[in-house]
Amino acid sequence: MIRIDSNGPLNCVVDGGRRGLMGTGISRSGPMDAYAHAISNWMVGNAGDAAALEISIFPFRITLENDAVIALTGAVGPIESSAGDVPPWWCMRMAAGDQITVSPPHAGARCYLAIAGGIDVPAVLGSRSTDLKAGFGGHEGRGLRRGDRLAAMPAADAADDQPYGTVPPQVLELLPELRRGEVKVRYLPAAEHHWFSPASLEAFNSSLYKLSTDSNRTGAKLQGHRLETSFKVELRSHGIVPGTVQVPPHGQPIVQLAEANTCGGYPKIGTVIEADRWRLGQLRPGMHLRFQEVDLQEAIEALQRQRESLVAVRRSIAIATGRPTMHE
Amino acid sequence: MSHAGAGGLLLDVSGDVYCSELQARLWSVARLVAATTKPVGVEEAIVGINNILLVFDPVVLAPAEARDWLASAWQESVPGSGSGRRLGLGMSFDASSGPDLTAAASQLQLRPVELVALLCEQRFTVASLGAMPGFAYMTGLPAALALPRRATPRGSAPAGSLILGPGMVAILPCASPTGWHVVGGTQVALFDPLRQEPAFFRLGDEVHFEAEVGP
Repeated sequence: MIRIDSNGPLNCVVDGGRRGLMGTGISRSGPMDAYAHAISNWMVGNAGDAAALEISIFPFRITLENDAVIALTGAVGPIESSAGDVPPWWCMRMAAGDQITVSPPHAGARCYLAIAGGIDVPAVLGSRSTDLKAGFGGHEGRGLRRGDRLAAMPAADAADDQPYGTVPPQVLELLPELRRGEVKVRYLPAAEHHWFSPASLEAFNSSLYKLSTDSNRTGAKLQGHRLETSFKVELRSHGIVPGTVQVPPHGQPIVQLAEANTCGGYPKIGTVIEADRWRLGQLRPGMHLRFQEVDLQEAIEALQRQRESLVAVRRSIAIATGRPTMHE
Repeated sequence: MSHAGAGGLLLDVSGDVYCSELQARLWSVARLVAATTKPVGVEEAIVGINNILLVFDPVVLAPAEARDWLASAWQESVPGSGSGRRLGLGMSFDASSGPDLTAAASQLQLRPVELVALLCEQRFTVASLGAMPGFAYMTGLPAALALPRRATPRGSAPAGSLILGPGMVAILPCASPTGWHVVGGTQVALFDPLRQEPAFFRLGDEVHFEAEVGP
């Protein structure tokens, strides 16, 4: 059992997300940083899409009521446990009664806490992820509060539970960008890209867009150079995916995120490529995004490289833990 | 067809006006996406209004192949028969359920009772599901009842609100902000994640409203 000792309406249980239901208006609701989420799970011996905690409200405090192997990944910052300071991207065995405090990170926005076995909440519509917008899934369909108690599912025996850490190269690349407060994401032009005026396209590709404080798991609201279409056409409602960059009439872009709406009606200037969507999850309000246009070939190659690198991470975890075979 | 990321393709078949026959063909394409015969890598589809978004894994299924498959699925599609269901929904049109009814009626130069009567004699069709869980875009609103969005969106309208939009009606499955006109309300739960079939509506449902409480 994990006892939650701090309130955080946006701290929630997430697994790999809901699949195949966008056609009935149901969002995927997976992790904002799918990279850090999957790796936290692998570190404790879970399948990559097991249920873990997404933490974006700090300080976040828990008490473990049983011995358990846990891992913390994602944003980098001070983490203290009863046993001492916890390095970033770290996996360790904790004893019953141990407490952990995750303080506001100095690089990044979200931490993931995985526990061996995975968080035991009921699967709703095929997933344990919280849909905060619609209020179902996860722990009672809501963010975590002080006093909540979460059980872990039975875990396979840890062959070797020496503490260890691993930081993937992609994360090392992102950290300096997070410290500068300026994160780069690549995008593919979307359906209405050519509607935008040359000046707007130039601005979108070259200027910085600041993440506004009223952003959430559904969308990143951005502030920057106003984007204008050369003509006005009322669009019919159409399907959208996480990563879609919409431009409402006020001209300030919105990037759809983990709990993306499934339909929209605003012109779309682009879609953040699949390989870079995890980066959006580490952006904090006040930090800036820089958009870089790429072509389809680069988008696919980037995704292939990312998957290959995830395989390498899993291999290194297998070596570090002495667990010969991994899930998936 | 345009890309929505490497793993998304939006097929837009819309013309100047909404076409129900094209829409029924899109339902057929969506059924192909849900069928077991779909190519490996195809994940899901979202039917919009005279458009469809195909979502696939671009590493497993090359985008060029996904594009070809979607194009031929569209070429070979025939209008789907809809769901075959006819649903009647009890609706309240009193001032608390439909706070915009009077203003919407006056914009249309009607009395509220006349607008309610016109809404209740219509047969609407669930053309698309999306925007939020269980939200149904229903077509069939006569051109004479079309209204532009409200100048100022409502911060929140309760679950069950019947909303009148540009050429369409819908019912909010959960409390939500809306720029459409709130003209009535129903007690029917349109979305329940714990139900066998969480969304009340299916694509192609024929829907009519029965006034339980008048204006």
